[in-house]
Amino acid sequence: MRHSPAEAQFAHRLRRVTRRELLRWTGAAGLGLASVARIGTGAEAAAMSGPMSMSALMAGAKKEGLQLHAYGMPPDWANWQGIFDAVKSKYGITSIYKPEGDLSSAQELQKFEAEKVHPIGDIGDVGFQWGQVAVQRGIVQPYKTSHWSSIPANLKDPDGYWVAEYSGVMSFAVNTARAKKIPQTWQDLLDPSYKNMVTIDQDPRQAFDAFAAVVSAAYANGGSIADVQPGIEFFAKLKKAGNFIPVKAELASMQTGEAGVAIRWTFLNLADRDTVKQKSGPAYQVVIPSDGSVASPYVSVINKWAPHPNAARLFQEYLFSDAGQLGLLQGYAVPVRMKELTVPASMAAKLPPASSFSKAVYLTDLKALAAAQQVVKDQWGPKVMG
Amino acid sequence: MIQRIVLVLFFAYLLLPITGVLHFTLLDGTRVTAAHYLQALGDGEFQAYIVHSLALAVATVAISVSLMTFTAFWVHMRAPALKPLLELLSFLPFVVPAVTLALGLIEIYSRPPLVLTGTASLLTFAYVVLALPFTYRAVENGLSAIDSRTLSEAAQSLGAGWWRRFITVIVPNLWPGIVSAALLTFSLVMGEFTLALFLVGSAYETYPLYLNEVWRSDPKYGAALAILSFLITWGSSVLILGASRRAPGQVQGAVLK
Amino acid sequence: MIAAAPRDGPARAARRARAGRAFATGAGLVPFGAFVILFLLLPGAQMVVGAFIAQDGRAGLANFARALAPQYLNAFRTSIAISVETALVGAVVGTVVAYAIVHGEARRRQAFVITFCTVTSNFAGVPLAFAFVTTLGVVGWVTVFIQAVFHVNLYNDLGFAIYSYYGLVLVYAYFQLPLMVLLAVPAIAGLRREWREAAQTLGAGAWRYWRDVGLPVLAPPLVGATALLFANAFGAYATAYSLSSGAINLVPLRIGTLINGDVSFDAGLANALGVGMTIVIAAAILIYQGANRRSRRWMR
Repeated sequence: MRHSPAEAQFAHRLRRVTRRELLRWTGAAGLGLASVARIGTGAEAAAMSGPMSMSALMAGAKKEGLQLHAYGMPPDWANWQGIFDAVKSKYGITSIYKPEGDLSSAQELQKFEAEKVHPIGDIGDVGFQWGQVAVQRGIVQPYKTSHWSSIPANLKDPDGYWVAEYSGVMSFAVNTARAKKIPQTWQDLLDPSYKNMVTIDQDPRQAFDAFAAVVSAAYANGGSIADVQPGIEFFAKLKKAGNFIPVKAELASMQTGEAGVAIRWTFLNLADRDTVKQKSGPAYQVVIPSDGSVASPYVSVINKWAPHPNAARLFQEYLFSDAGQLGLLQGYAVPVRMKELTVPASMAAKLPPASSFSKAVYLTDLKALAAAQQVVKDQWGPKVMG
Repeated sequence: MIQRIVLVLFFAYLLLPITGVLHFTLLDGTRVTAAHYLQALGDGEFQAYIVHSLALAVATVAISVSLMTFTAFWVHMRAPALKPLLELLSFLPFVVPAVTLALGLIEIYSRPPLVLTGTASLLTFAYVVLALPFTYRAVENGLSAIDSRTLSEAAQSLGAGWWRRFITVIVPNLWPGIVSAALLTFSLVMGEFTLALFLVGSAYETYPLYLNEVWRSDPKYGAALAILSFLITWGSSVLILGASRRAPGQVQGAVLK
Repeated sequence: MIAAAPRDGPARAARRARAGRAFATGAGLVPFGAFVILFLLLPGAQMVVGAFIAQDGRAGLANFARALAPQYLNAFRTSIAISVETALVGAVVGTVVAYAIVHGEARRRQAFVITFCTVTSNFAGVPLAFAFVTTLGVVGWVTVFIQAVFHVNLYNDLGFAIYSYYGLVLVYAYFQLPLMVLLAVPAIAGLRREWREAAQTLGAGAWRYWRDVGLPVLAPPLVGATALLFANAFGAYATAYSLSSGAINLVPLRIGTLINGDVSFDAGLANALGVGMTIVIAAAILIYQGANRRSRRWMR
C-alpha cells in the first residue's frame, strides 16, 4: 500500500534539499551539472535524469515495443496530433493518446498513482502547479533532455521531475457575426452590446484557463495574482449586466455561435477559429486584451512507473528540439524555447503580433497561485453565481 | 382520447432537444446536408467502437438481469427482513462519484492475483454494479405487483421443485420487470463515459469515448454520432422488446393489453 | 418399537433444520454479495476511509469540519431541492404516462414509447446539455424562431435561461420522466384487470377500488421508484456541469472541482462530501421505507 502522504512529502523534500545544496556549493546554476548532483545522493532514478544518448534511448524504446501511452494530451490541443505523428515517423513510436486526452491534470496524476502496480500511462501534460504536486506525491520520474540548459530555471524542476513545454496567453475569440464591435480590453466587455455573449472555460474553481481569465480580469482592474478580488468583482459585474453566461467556451459552442466571446488561451482560440472557419461556421477574431492578460506554462511529466520510459524520454527529446517546438508553435502555443527558434515567415504571419504577448504576466509563483485559487474557490460561488 | 394527448405531449417534449441537434447537424449555414451522418459509414473506428459498446451492453444485461432477478426473488421468498439492506446497497452506486469508484477499482484490481485493469471484464463488472439501482428497482416493482408467494405455493402444490418453480412460474410473471431492467441496463452501458475512460480507455475503446474524442475536434460529426447512438440504442431496445414478446410461457396480457 | 427416544430430539432436529435453511438462504445471496463487495464496497470503502484522512495526512474529522462550510451546506440544500423537485415531477408525470401506456390500445405505440423511454432515460451529460442549448440556448433555434416570429427574446425579455436552476430542472426531467415510466410500467401492469372487475362485481366504485386495492398495491413500487429518481438526480454530475458550468451550487459539482479539475485537488474533502451524500440517500431510503410500511398494512 502507499506510504502516508506525510512521509512521502518529507522524503522528497529531503532529497531535493540535499541536491540543491550540492549545486550551490559547486557554484553552478544547475545547468549541465546534473552529473555532479548525482554523486553522493544514493540509489535513485537520478542516475537516469541526465540526458541519455539517442542510441541508448532508441535501443531501450525498441525493447519496450515502440509504444507510448499519453494522458491528458488531446489531439487538438497545441497540435499534439501533429507532434505525435512526427514522433511516429521519426522514431517509429506509436502513441496512444486520443481517449485519455480528456483527463484533467488531477485525474492524470491520480490514474498514474492508482495503477502503479500494473501501470499503463507513460507521460502526461499537466498545469504548471501540478508539477510540484506530482513530485510531492512521488508520482513522477526525472529526465533532463539534451536541451535542458536552454530552458529558464523558473520553468523547470531543478531535479528534472517536470519541465514547461509551452504556454498560452489569455485571449478573446469574438464572434464577428454576433458582435458588432470587437472588444480590445476587459472594460469593453461591459458594453451592453455583449449581452449574453461572454463565456469562459466553465468553472474557474475547476478549469485552469477559466481561473486564468479571472486573474487576467484582476490585473485589468487594479489587482494582481496577489489580489484577485477585483477579478471576481469584475465577473460579478459582468454577470449582473447580463453579459456573462455560464456556457463552456469550446469548439462546439463557437461553432453554434453560442459563445459570443470565448475567453481562453490563445492556442485554443486560434486553433478553433481556424477549425470553425474550415467547417463553414461563424467567423471569429482573436484579440489579446491590452489591459490584462496572463500566461501560464504547461509542464511535461513522466510517470514514475511508466512501462515505456525510454519512449517517453524520446518524446521529450523531440518535443524540446527545434522541430518539436515549432510543432507546438503550429498549434499556436508559445514554445518554451521560443527565443532560440527561427520561425519560418509563413508561420509567423499567422500568429498575433509579438507586442501583444510581451505584456502578459506569467503565473509561475506557486504560492501566490495557491492563495489566489483559494480566494476564487471561496468567492466565485457566492459573489458571482449567487 | 386523453391517453393519446398525454402520450403525444410527452413524446413532443422528448423530441424537443433532439430537434436542436438535428438542426445543428443537418444544416451547414443555410445548406441542408446529410454529410455529417454519411461520414459515419466510412468510419472504421465508429463501427468498431459501436460493436465494443454493444458487446459490453449485452454482457452487462445478461449478468445484471439474471443476478438481480434471482437475488430479488430469493430475498423476497427466503429473507424478506433483508430487503431494506438490499435496497440500501442498491442505492450506493449513486453516492460514490464515478471517478472515485474508478480509481478504487484500478487500485484494487491492478494487483496480482486478480489483474483486471484495462480489460473489458472489469468494465462489465463495474457496469453491473452501476446498473444495480435500476435493475433491482425494476425487478422489485414487478415482484411486488404479483403475489409471488401465492403463485409459488400454487406451483408447489403441483409438485414442481424450487428451481423449476422459479423458471416456469415466477420468471414469466416477472417478465415486465425483467424487460424494464434489461432496457435500463442496456441504455446505461451505451451512454456511460467516465468508468470507460478510466478503466479501459484505449484498451477497449467504447462508443461514448469515441464520441467525446470526435466532439473535441469536429462537433458536427460528434453530434451526428450522438444521434446515431440514440438511433442504435433505440433500435436495439426495439429488438430486445420484440424478442421478449416471443419468450415462451408469458402472461402477456398483463403487460400490453 | 423402541420407545426410548431422547427428550430433546425434535427440538434439536428443528434447530438443525433452521440452521440448514439459514445456510441455504445465505448461499443464495453469495453471487449478489460477491459482486457488491468486490466491485462496490471495496472500492467505495476507500471513499469512506479517505474522508477521515486530512490534508496533512493525519486521521481525524478535519474534512468533515470543512464540509460543513456554508457553501457546501448550500450545495446540499440545492441538491436536495432539485432532486426532490425533479423526482416528484418525474413521478407524477411518469406514472400518468405509464398508465396511459399500459391501459392504452395500440401495442405498437406502446412499444414505441417504451423503447424511446429506454434511450432517453440515459441520454444525459454533455450530449443532453448540448441538445438543449442548440434548442433553447441564447442562439438556439427555438429562441431564434420565437424572436423572429413573435419578436420576443426569451433571454432578454422573459428572463429565461436554460442555464438557470429551472433550466436545469427542465433538463433533468428529460431523463427522470422516462426512467419513471420504465419503472412504473411493470408495477401498473401488475394491477390485474380481474381485480378491478371483481371489485366492481362486489359493488365497489372507482374511488373505493383505488383506495383499497389500487393505491396500496401501487404505492410501494411507485414510491420506491420516486426514491430512485431522487437519488438519480442527486448524484448527477455530467449533465449539471455541462449545462451550468458550476453556476448552480450542487454537491456533485463541488466534489468534481476537488478531484476532477486542474485548479485544486482535495480528495479528503471530496470523500467527506461523498459520505455526506451517502447519509442523505440513506435518510431518503429510510423515509420512503417508513412510508411503505404504512401502506403494507392494507396488503393481504
